[in-house]
Amino acid sequence: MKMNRLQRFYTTLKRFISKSCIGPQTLLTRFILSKQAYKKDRVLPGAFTIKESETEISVFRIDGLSDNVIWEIGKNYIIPRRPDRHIHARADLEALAIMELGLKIRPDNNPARHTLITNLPKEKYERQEIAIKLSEASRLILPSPPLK
Amino acid sequence: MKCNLDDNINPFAVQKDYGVSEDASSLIRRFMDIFIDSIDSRRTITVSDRFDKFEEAFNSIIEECSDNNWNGYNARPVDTKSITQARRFLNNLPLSTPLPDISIDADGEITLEWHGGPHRVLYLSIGANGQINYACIVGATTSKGIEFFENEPPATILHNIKKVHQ
Repeated sequence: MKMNRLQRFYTTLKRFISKSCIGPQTLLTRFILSKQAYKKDRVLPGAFTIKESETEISVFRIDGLSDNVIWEIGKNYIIPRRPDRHIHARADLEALAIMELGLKIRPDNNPARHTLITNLPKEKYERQEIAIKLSEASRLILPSPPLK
Repeated sequence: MKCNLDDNINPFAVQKDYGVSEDASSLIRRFMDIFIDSIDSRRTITVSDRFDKFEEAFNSIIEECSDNNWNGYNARPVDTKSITQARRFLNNLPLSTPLPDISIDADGEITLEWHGGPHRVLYLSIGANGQINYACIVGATTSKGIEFFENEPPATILHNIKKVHQ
């Protein structure tokens, strides 16, 4: 009986850790709500800019999810931030591209799969360099039709 | 009247004397004037095209980004003074400068991006007071920092635009 409980706890813990664990190949996405952040064939650096006063970039872990489920995450968690807008696109990238820039990736799972890119420099021009590199490492994914 | 005008005439070539009549020479001169005028008017259209593209981009930004949180990530609304500075900056660029992609960042500042291909990017933002933050990546080399725009685009920025498009 005791062993069963322990086993169950261990299995749950393992599942939780594997869900939250970020490896270099982990896929992340940044949902894009503005047409100013992409062109027809690529993500613009603006997709990865944040206000000077902020310190984290919001992304979602999308490893092992189907395309439909990924868009559902955007619909459920991003659209409520601006219900009058729709999701234009998303920028998918591997965690490695972020790690290589000396940035940290911290899953906060609030909501589920939500993750923060942290350890950003303070200077705006340093952040611009990072925005260029993250946009270059990203793959532009467009929904069809635009997601409301 | 004898005239040696044909389709392949080059108005910039040194005119040779083929013994044509005075009427024909004046016709050639007139043709050259018309040709040069047409080049000038084409240039005028190009300048106006550039201007139209800038204004189209600014209008799209104003339309989409004039309120708080326009990107869903707490972005500031577009700063109209930044638009004024960006417009001045763009209109002061040499005409031969490639057009940038005009956009906006989360601080509400207008951004300009020159994209010459993978790993060849100049990305800058212009603040309300003319402060330019920029980062330029060409291959493995990065240059970045702060410049100020008063009347002329800073030499560093012009140099980086050239590097990106070389």
